Amino acid sequence: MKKAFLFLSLLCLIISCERYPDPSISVLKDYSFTFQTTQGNKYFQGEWVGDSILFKAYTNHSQVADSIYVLFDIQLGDGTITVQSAYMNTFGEVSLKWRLGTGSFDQKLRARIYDLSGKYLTSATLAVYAYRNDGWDPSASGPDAGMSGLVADTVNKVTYMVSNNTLYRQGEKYFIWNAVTDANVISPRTINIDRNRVIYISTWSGELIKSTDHGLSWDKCTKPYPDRSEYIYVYVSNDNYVWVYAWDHKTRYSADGGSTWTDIDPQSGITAQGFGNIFRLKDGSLLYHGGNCCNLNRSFDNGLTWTKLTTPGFSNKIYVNDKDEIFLCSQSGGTTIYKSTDYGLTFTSVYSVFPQWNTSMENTFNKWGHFYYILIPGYGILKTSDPGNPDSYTEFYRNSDLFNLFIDHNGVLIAKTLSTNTVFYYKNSR
Amino acid sequence: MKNFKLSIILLLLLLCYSVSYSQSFTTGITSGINFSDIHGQDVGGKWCSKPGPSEGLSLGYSFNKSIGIQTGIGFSTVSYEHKNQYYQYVPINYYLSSMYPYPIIDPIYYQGGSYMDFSFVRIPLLVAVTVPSAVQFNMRAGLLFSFAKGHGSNPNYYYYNSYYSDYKDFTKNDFGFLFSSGVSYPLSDRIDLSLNLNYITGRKKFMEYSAMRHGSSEITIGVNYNFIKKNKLNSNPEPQSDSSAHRVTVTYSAGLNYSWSTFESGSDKYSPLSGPSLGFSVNIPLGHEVYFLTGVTFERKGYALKDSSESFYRYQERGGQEYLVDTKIITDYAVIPFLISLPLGKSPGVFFNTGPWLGLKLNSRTVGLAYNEINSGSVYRYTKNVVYDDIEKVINNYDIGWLFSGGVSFLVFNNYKVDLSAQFSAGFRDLFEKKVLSDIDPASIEQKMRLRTMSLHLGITLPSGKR
Repeated sequence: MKKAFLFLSLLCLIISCERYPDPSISVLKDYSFTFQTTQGNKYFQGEWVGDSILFKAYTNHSQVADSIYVLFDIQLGDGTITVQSAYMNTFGEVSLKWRLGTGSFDQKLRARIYDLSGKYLTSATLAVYAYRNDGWDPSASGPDAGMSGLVADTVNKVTYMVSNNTLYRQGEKYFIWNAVTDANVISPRTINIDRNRVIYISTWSGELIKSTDHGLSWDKCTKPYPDRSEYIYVYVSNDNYVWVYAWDHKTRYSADGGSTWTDIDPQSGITAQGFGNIFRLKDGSLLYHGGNCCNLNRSFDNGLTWTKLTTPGFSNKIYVNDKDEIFLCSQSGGTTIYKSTDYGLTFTSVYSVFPQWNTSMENTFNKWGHFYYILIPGYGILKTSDPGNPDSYTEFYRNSDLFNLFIDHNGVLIAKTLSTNTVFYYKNSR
Repeated sequence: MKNFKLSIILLLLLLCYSVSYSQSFTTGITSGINFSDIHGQDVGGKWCSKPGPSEGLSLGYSFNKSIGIQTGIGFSTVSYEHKNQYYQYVPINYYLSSMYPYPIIDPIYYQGGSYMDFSFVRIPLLVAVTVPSAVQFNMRAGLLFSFAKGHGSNPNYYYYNSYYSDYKDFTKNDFGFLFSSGVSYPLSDRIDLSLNLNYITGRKKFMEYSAMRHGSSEITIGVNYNFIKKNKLNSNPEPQSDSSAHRVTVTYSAGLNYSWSTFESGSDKYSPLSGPSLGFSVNIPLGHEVYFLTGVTFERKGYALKDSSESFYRYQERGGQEYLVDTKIITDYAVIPFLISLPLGKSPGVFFNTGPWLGLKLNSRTVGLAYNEINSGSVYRYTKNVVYDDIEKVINNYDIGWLFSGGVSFLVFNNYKVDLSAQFSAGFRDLFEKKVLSDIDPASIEQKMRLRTMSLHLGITLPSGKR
């Protein structure tokens, strides 16, 4: 009995002295999977995503990577892939090809990963964008998302844009933009082009730079306001005059491509009416609408004196076509487009829309081929073959976020939103 | 230093006093080893029970054969070591966009470790109870005043232990309780050899920004010198009945516990846990073979958890990172029973015990394994966590309950009584400290857990009155 008691006591002691190991963490399996193709790349619908796509596993452990089984499928879009399933090779890689479909702008290729026992581990996705014809597709990443100005030279087939203080030239694909580096192009702010395809860039330091060889070289013009080191506003009128404006200086123009500058407006105080648009009419007079409301003026002495014209409603934008027909946008009853065929003496209401919000108007009237594309901020884009004919108007793209509209040298419409860094592309197939 | 000198002077005075009036005095010297057992620690990590020396001089005064007081002076060094592991609570981002096609780097799990050691001068003030038998049984309990004479620490880089860095924050004086039990064996008329188990628990926080308190268990061997011969002490023995039924006896018992939890929900996720039980009981005769039993039993109780859970010590799913948990939640108690033992027939023979008990928590921890699977984005990671977390903070300091036991006793070798019994014990209090738990997981306090225990015990009662 003594032995039994001692044995039991000893057993209890042994159990009570049970040792437990110190806390620790060990990684038994550790994989990371990735497509070796940049996420968010942009392609055309129906295009192959590169020459091939490499799907790769990384691990710092001793697992054999070829024990990984991968199932590929198209998660979004209706493209095709050349490999549906495969085991990874000893380098932990699988290659395949992916041809984008036409089903959607967002296209996704998914890889579902399993171990040898068939246990699902995780999945990885490659997401790209596929631009289509005859549809509006966004770009919220890349330099184009911050686009603030664009010019297109349809003769030399080039398009330039300014975005985030950088000059870009459009690449082979209209949504691809390549930065332009030039010693004279420093902190560009605005970009304009005249009818002789001379491109003007103004900078944040008030310099004016131009290129007469469709962007191959850039030269400084005479500084419009030598004593001003801040930015200026620039407008190129249809007679190739370059107009500059600064709130603390008088409006000036250059008739010789920025070599010399002439002050205007010694008496009428047109500078106080803000930066606006100026058109040379066929009779030699100038028509000007300031950036402030209801300031339509005409000058018969090349800008020395101005006569104010009466506008309907609260006008803020004019456009003059090749027939000297004046179109005026006014914020009365929504936004109404008026037409005048008597040099602004009388206006006739043509078409009205009701935008969700009002603001200043930038590139409003854009012509490509036989059609005008008119962007009304807060409403969207109207399309018309004759802006003076109300029956010719159609609602082309209703998007109340839009603020500005450009057309590249191929006729691709590029619309910029006001509040978000997004542009929308529209390529017309016809 | 001032306290140390005072302690020495006090000891010398006491020794002089004992020499002058030696009739009832005992003095002794003990030496042993302590195992640190820190209290009040936060939840998480492993506090290792580190060994350290314990030495002491004791001076006792006996009022009679059974009751006395004891004081003395002790020297000990207590070392604490904390080991922890960074648990990765959030999915890990590898920055594995194709923009960064670089090989990934393993996640780093830091092994945290910190050390503290304290050297104490200790002065106990104890009440001693002696039960004469073939091997004399001693129990002592009382106050312990400790004066830290030195300390050192090695804080690691882990923020959890950052409050160790300011050494001057350590409290130098401590006050606590000491519980001791042991046996002594006479080597001669004046000299005894003793073996004692001591449990020391400090009551003062020893760091300003932490609830931690000192604690340790000791095992010591001592030699005691009696200033009066045993035969003199026994020269005028009190009249005693020859019947063992009229003597106080001590039963030493050992057994196995089988404990389980009673969660009100999710109980299928829990399973029982087995553990040891070791202790003694003092059997005080009440007459007619009826005894009042009390003493101390060290019992290991708890339960096992096996399921997917966010917590390692109780089932929890709140939508966070989950682990496949396979852990044991272990709590050690010092159980003090207050039982009535009734014979069912002639004694020794079949008996039945019942009564309340008080369980004082000694320590509590979670041990085991927890596996975690992360598939976040294109990352898959499978980790194994070896869990050792002290969870004393979330466990209630004590439990009370009721037990029933029944068994059979019989005599062997004529003088030794052996008990073989089965016992069922039910705790009444929630295992978890509600306030602490609600800070960690407010939703979890709705679930109450109580422990139930089945035990098998083998006890042996030594012949009494042999000294």
